[in-house]
Amino acid sequence: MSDAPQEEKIQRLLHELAEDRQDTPDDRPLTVDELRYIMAELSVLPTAVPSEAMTQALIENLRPHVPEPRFRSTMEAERASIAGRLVSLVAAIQPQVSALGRQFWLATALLYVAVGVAGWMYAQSYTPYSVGPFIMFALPLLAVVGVGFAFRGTQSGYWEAERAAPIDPATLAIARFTVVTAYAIALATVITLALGVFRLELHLGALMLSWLAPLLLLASITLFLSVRWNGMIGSSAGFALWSVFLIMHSRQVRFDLLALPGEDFWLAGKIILFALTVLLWLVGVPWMRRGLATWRLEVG
Amino acid sequence: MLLEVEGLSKLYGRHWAIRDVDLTIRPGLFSVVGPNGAGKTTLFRMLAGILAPSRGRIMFNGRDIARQATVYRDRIGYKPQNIDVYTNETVAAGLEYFARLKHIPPRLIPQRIDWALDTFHLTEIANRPLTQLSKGERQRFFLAQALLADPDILILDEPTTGLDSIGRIELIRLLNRWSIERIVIVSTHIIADVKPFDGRMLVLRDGQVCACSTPSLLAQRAVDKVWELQLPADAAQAIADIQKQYTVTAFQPLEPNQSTNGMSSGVVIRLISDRPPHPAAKPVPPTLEEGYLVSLM
Repeated sequence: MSDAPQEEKIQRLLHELAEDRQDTPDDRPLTVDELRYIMAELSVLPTAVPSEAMTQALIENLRPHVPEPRFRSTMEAERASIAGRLVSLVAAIQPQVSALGRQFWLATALLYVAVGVAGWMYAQSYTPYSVGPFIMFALPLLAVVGVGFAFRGTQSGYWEAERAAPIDPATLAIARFTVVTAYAIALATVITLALGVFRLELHLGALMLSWLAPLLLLASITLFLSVRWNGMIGSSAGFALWSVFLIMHSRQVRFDLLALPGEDFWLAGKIILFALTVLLWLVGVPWMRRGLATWRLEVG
Repeated sequence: MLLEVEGLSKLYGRHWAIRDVDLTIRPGLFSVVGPNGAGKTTLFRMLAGILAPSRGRIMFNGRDIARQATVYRDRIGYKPQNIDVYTNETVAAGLEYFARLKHIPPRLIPQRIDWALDTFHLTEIANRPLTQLSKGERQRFFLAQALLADPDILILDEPTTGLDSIGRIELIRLLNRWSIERIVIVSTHIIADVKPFDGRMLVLRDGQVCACSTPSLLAQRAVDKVWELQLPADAAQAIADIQKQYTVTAFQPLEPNQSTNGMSSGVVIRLISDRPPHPAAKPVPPTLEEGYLVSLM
């Protein structure tokens, strides 16, 4: 900013003083009183008010140097306004629906439809009764495939980044499992009901219980092994256990866990499968947590 | 804001990946360098709260992060070294997923994703599936997700790998700016990557701290240990002996105006040695790389 008006006024005051003394401004130094007079006059010197354009230009020049407000402050203010923020399994479930991608949901649905069509054709070729064992044996396997696929990336950097999010990693895994398994159960129910239209000659509830019990056990085993190691190991273990159950069923052993409705040990077999699932979760969750905290991911 | 590491150790089988590391990290840039297998990634995973230490602890603002895991992870942004993806989501959908995982309020998600896409030049590939991205593009995606919730602590494991020159410069500029108010921890095994960073440097080797200081102080470690030697090009045996005995840091043809002993052609060798390696060798000011090498010795 220029000091021109001030300089001008000083010169004018000096000339006025010189005129009073009848000499020229440069002839002698000012007296203390004269200096006081000049100071008093200068203190009331009107300051030029900058124009609006000048003020605006100054603001624009300074703007790049002003730190931007942090997004975190905005985010935290907004979070605080959301009553009772849910950091729970329910809150963790919702993002999992998008995490698995549209293709996953579509492919899974198509797979179930394919099994349903195969079941219907099977029933046409043999007897309506034979479709019951067919879907009972096929549906749990589809759930194993789904869970194994959902956890196929537990050795990837993407999973590592997911684990560094505020949601507890075990909760994240259980949330994903819940979404995938619930979808599998929903599709399996639709297939069972659809085939029921073609006279299964089996009680629908009993049939659904027959596939639900092994499905939950096998899917849970797949979850724990997939998270601890990877999806391939998890689904392989699920398949292997299912094969053991099938062999036991085909050999008609006394404790056949896959006994069909009406056969000996049917209800007891299903109760044992549910009990095993509960036991597995009691042991599996702490084991999975320990694995998540100590896991070693090979780096490339 | 203060991050303190006390006696941090990680044992894999019988191998100590990290052993007795003590650190105090304040806002600013903190770089971790070391050769492959030095334990950088293990250290970063523990700093990110996704790997439990075998011994020791990490304190954030005076509290053990193990006792406030989700609260601590809410304050960090982490980019792993491994940038493999398993989902076929698009870039924008992937960022939205991470925004939800990081509890960004739904109303703010679109604007934050736009910011991330713009900052990391991902706008043009926003609708491309993650599995179809190049390594550099994936690197930018992983950086974007790390910065999405504007974390107080940024933990970036090898953030410059796979980026082109412009991408590296932009990232360095961004990190320098971010480090004013935040703790930014970056790792690399390429010393040139951290040269432009201000702040402190940690040198790791076999899971242990070799040095922790500023880049200029690290370079000072090699003072009086770096020598330059001019040899005629036909002194093949002498050159071979020097390469065998010493850590050679530069080896280049002698420029005509560089000769100090009237040689018209020859080679200039820079090497590290506690004593003069040759009567004709002259001590020269060390570079950061040479300071790093001396601290590893």
